[in-house]
Amino acid sequence: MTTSTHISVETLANIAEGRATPEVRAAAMSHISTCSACRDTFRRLQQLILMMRSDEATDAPRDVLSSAINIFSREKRLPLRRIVALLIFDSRNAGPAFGVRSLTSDSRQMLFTAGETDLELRITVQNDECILAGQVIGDGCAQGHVEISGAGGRSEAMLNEICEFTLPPVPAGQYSLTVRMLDLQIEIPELELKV
Amino acid sequence: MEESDQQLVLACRRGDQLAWEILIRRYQRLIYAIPLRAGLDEDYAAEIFQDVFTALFQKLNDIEQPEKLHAWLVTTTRRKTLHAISKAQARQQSQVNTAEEFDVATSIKDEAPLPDEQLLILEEQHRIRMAVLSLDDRCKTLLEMLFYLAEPPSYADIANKLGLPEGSIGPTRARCLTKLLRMLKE
Repeated sequence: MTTSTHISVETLANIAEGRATPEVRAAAMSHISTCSACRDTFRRLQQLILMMRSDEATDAPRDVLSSAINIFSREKRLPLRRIVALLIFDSRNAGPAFGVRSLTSDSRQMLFTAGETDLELRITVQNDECILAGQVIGDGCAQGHVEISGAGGRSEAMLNEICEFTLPPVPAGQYSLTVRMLDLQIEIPELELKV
Repeated sequence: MEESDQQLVLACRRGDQLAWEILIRRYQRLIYAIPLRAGLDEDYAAEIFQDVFTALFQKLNDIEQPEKLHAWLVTTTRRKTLHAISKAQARQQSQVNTAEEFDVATSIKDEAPLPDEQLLILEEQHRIRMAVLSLDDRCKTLLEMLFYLAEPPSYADIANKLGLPEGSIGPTRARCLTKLLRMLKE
């Protein structure tokens, strides 16, 4: 009935289900009254079994289910414009400012344009991995989605309320970036992540 | 590994039809159960079900915290259920006004048809059901036969169905319940 000093789950389940003999039940309940671990397990088992036994929820009828599934194909998604972004500034290629002998930095900044929307990117290196952060500047960008994928893996994030994002770190390397918004998808087919 | 609600919503935003279907199948029981538990009939439940998922489709790009989709769906279903109840009551009331032989009191349902406590129980039952469905086939079948059938079969019948000796049903049940408790605790 017991494993080491505690009552087995099998016995506790038997009691919770009403399958235990009066003798087993009495002995177990005596132990439970002094053992908080067994009492906790017993209480959780009782609650679990009660919840399962009282669950009367049924599947939605097949036609109702199909109708909801078909919403996705029936309704027209907003037509999506896809634009390949154009690089207009890269701090790695920029010369030092007047009077500055050299430019060394732990981060790299880039600015892309895609129609009426701009995309600012910042790459920083931390523990040999690259962190890509940035901001979409344009209308309708809130709750958009940013994703990069490449040989080093895949990473994604949502745009926040001011259309900023920070992706989880990925190894340096070649990636493609996609920003998906309500009716616009901005793409950067080749983005080299390194400072 | 099972995809999270957040991953599925993001996939839906990218136009992934399969992600949409997985989301609907994940929540169909719960969404259908809420209006029924509030006392509405199957026709109303079906209408609300369709309304809720239509609203979800329309709001796919606006849901600010996709990881909280569960709460969004439950709140939306509850609101639509309460709205349907008040419409039904108004309709009944107008019929009573034109046919006064009906007792008004019998046409008005409970003033709180869907108390928080009932909703919490439905949500907990849904959480447990989802956890059971993610167990291995043997555990899933065993727990469904033992706890979800109105008349659970005998251990002998269960053993026969699972291809196990009858004596191992108890220990197997204990292992499955332990796994389930662990999953629910995570």
